[in-house]
Amino acid sequence: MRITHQSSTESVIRYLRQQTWDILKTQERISSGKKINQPSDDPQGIRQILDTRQILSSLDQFQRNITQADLRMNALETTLATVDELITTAQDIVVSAEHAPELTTTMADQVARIRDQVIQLANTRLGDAYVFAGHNTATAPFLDDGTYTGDGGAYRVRVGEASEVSLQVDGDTVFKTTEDIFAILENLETGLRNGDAALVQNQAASLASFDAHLQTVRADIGFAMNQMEISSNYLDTFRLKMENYLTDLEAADLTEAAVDLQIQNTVYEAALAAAADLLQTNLLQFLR
Amino acid sequence: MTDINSILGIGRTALLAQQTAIDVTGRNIANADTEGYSRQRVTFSSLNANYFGGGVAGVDIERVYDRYLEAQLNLALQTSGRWASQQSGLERIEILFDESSGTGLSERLNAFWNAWMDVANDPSGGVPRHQLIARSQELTSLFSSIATNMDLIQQDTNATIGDTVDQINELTRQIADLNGQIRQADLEGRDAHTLKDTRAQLLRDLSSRIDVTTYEKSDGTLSIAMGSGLPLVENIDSFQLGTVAGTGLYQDDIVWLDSQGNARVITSQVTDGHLKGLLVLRDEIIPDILGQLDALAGGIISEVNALHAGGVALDGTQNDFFTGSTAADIAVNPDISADPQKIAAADPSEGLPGGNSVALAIADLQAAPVMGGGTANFGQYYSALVSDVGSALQTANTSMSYQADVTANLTAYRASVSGVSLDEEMVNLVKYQNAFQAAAQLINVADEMLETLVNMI
Repeated sequence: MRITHQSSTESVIRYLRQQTWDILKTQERISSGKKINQPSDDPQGIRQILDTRQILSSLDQFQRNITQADLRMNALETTLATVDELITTAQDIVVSAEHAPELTTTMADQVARIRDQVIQLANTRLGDAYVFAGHNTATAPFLDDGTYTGDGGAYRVRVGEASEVSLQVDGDTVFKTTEDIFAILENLETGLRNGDAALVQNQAASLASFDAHLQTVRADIGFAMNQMEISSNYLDTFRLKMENYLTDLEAADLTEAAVDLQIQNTVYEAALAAAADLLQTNLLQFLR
Repeated sequence: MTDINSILGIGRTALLAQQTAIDVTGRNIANADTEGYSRQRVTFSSLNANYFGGGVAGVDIERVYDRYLEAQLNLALQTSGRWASQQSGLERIEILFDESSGTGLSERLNAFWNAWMDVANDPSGGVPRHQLIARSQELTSLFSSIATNMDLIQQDTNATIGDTVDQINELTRQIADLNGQIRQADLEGRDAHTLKDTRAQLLRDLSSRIDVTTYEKSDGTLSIAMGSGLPLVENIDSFQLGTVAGTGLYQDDIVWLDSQGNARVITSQVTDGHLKGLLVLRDEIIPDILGQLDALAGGIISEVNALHAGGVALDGTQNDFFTGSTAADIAVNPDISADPQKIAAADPSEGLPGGNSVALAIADLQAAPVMGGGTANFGQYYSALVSDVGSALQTANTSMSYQADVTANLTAYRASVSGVSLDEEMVNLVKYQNAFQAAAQLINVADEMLETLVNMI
């Protein structure tokens, strides 16, 4: 086959072009740290990468949901713990009333103060939302006379793709329906002021009943917090696995890329040297 | 019987012949880098002894080329032309789907669903609502941007098709013109080598643009027809192509004009070359991608609106969340962007502002398999689209690379037949120069012989 100088220059140009293209691609891998920089580098890979990123994004969101819900749960728990203490104090008063009838006025005042505190606690706010108002979170759920102005909405948190934590902690459920604590305390106060010992003693049973109910509510909250912690741990583990999977998919092996670059550079230099030699030698150099 | 005159005669033919040979060698050297040049070769034929003596007679100058190789090369150029235009179009499209940096549509979709979840966590808060509007606007603006750019690419492709048709017309005109000149030269017995080289080069340019078949007639003219049979060049006439408005806004049809100027639509008859690649890009690839993009946007709009319009906003009203129906016109309802209170997080059975069922339901749409006939969620539908784009470009790249190799090989073969080798020409130069010197010496000798004779007298 005849070799013309035009075809050999064409050939040289083609191979040099191919070499520089390969070197550029390897450099892209190194600079971006990724082995897939355009969809056309690996169409299947890019699809898996995007799907995995979507999963990671929603995992992060679920963790954020749990963090926010934790705040709410802690506020509820702290509030109800305080209410519990107040109830215990009221129960103590009932017991004392039996043995010290001359202090009933003082005790009545104490009970009045306890009742006020419980109302305040029932109107606890977190941010701009009243936590015991069901869904009517913009207005304080309890009036001074114990009337409930909220609704029965439940508190719902999404902690996973198909898992939700739901808590019924509206003021009605907690403070009124089973036992109306405000009515109980009011009766207790009235009883103490009027020296109505029977009325006072009746409240003991009611207080005990409310206390039991309160513990149930606190247990529910504790259970919900537990559920969320389990979900959070699961999300952490799953997230780690997904991140590793994503890294496998898209991260370039820097060692491999660096070695490739070295080899390609060497080949490129050899090609350049050969080209220089080829292009310069011809018969003209030897004809006098 | 020979006489001295016949020796002079022989010397003369030899000188002239070698001179011509050196001339041709010079021509080859001068055109060593000319694209499409076929080297010319001298063949000598010996004269029978006649009154002016024997010697060298014919100096035939032939053009060295391989007709079948040329045809094969043209075929390869058609295919690589087709892939080249598809590849460059797809490269432009791929840029629109750049997901490597993490700010593409995939990322914005995820941020959108997350923003709904944040509203569900805090339905009365002002900040999550503002964030939701911001994320939604980022989503819709990217949708519009991609759709607009795709339209632009389609427009550009349409314009390029018009340009390519113009180029084809110019080439066929020139070829027809050359046909005339070549036929004339043949009639007058002149060599038309350079004209034929030029015509072969024009034919290669034409082949890369559109699929053609050729037939060289005995009078030297080249007939060119489209793959489907319609003539483009016949003798010294060329038939023009044109474009007319077609079915879509930027989807012109290609027409062939006959000798009376009547137009025949031939868009579907083009099967190879740049033109075919551009047509596939404009009429198949781009509309397919736009269709999927519109389906995605449309799906999001209808699913979100269905839930949102059934929910109740903080001001008690019920509204659509999105306006529009396609990727190009998807937008956040202006009432909502002006007043975040109109975002509905609650459903009518719940109290305000704490109700969040609707916000939760909308956030759940992220994982809902509503696309692809119930098999994929929005994100997966989009990632499949990106994968398709990447796959199409990968195919074009591979095909282009393969075709480039084939074309390069054929070009090398052609060069080995028709190309100029400077080494070879150098040798020839020396060869002809020596022969010329020898012939001159012959004349010298004959001259001295004559002088000797004359001096004898």
